[in-house]
Amino acid sequence: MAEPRPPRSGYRVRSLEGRNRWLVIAVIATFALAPFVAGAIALAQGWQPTGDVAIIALRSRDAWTADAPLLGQPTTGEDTTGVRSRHPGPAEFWVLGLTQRALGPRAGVVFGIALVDALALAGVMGLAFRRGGPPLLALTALTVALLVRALGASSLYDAFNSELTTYPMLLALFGAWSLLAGDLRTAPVLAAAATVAGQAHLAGATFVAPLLVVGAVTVGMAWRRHPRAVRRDRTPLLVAGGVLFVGWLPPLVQELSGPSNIAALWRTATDSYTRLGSTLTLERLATAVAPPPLFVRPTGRFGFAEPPSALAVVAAALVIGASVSLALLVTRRTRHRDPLRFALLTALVTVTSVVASAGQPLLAALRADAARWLWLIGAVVWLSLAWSGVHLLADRLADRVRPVLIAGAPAVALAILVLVIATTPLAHQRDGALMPVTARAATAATDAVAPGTYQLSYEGSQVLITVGPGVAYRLAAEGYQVRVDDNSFNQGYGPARTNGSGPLDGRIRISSISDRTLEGERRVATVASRVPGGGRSSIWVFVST
Amino acid sequence: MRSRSSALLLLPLVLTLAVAAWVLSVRGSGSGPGGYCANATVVVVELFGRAETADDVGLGPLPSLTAMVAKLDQVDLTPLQVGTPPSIRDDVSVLVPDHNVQASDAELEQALAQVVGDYLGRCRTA
Repeated sequence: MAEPRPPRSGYRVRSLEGRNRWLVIAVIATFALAPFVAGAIALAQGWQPTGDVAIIALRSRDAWTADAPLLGQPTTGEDTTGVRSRHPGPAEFWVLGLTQRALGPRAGVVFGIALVDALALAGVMGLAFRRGGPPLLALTALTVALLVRALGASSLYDAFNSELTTYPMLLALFGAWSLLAGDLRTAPVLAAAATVAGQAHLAGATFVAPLLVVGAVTVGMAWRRHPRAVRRDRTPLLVAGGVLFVGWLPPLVQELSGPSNIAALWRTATDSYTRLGSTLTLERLATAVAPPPLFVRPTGRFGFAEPPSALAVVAAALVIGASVSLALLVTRRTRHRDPLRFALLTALVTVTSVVASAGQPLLAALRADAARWLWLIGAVVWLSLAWSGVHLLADRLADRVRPVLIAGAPAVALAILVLVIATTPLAHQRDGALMPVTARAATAATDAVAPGTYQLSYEGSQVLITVGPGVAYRLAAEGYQVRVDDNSFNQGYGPARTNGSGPLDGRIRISSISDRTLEGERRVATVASRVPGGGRSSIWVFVST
Repeated sequence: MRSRSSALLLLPLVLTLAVAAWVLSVRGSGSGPGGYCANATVVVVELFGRAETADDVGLGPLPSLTAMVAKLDQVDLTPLQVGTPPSIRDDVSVLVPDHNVQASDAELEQALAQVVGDYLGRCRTA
């Protein structure tokens, strides 16, 4: 057969010789470095925290203090049901709390997330090699490089919590697969990836939850059937348990001290509202999987949600079905079960993600960032199909294909990564066009008032959603205390900023609606801005002290 | 034994094709599930997608009305006519004229603003 069965505990880099060894190391290192390079280029282009990223960065400043966040960002559930709830956990805040202190307010955010994504991508490549040797590593490298191209270079360092889940979700899938294959030493990888992805966003939580269940059941069954193997691997298993305990301790403390976030999430999930529904969700899945799948093509923000043709629906069904059928065929012909395990895990997360997504509010249909599971499912279904295909090649053909695949796919992957990272201007990334505007507005505010405590207010959607949070973060990073109104938009700022009391040193009002100065105010900046569609507008900064 | 094994191999394909057939049959039934909001979601998302000019694939402001009006002729708007709420029935009829009466761009912009605004409010909490 084309592919030999892997060693029992997986392939090892040290068992390779010569060129193959260096090739594997180079692929893993490339994916580990890519997020840092992309982040460094963005910083050099003038990247600024704006919008949700700025709010996340602001709240991260509270991590490792007495006001430390115990939960994640606010969910949008309040808009639909009126119930305030938060994403499951604060892992992102705690990571960024450290990197901000070490690297500063801009680089700390970019490189903090780049570190998470670098570990996730290197982990995916490492586990792909461990499970399938150089051929699977080559296929995975190509798949992930295409995924990065489809999502954009900013996906490699984006602190937006829904985006952060992307690569850790992929790592959790590979981690659960490794456990299922009997490689208990990879348990800490699954635990860490599931903690990051599951805490940052509910979409990540619904993706990784079944993988954690599979991991736990696998370890339980191994304990019954092969207790000696479990005792042998007790150290990594204990580390995995420790990661889960420490990682989920803050949300647990929140549940015990109240109010319960789980209860709020449950009330939100079971409230009465119009849901996306299974038909629309399955249509989206068809768009994600049918040729050409989402992960091989840049779509813009709404392309992922375009209704598929009838042919695309049938093609997607064939691709998903064939990924499992071919894996079954591999098992029958070779007794090699890893491709089937991978296909079945992919099918499991597909089903659970469809069910979870179908229960979302209809407006979730507009949120590409909260639907990254579609890109991932498309990628891993095709990866599964390709890997089974490699196993089923006739020996003579396989002997010719393998060397080309092992050397060619990583080379193409590298070329794609270099092109994507080197040729994506900041202006083409989310909020990129408004980052210089945010920087100028923030500079005007900090130049105009002395350090102290200031109440910020926003007028206009551009300011409320994007520029205002960026100014608030910059003020906080330079030692100012900021307060904002207590409303659904501002929940992410944290209770100390929405419910703050005590004297104010002044007020800062930022508007994209009117240049009119109110009584007691002075205008300190007029910044030319851009509106969606290419028009021009302005943003005005007013202060009163 | 061999036929049972072959049947097992084909089972995933049969299952996924059955799901695809169900999706296509529900979709082809006219009003579809979920009523006006589900239909409007399909229309609004396609319109946003065609009018979008940004390159990123994340969250951001919606496309401008002008850009959306320019793409109206590329989108099938007839699903908006199924179960249309009375408050926006006139606006939908401007967007989907019954007798080939072409509205001006200004009228289209106004009607589209009403329909999209209604959608964003109604279908958030419906």
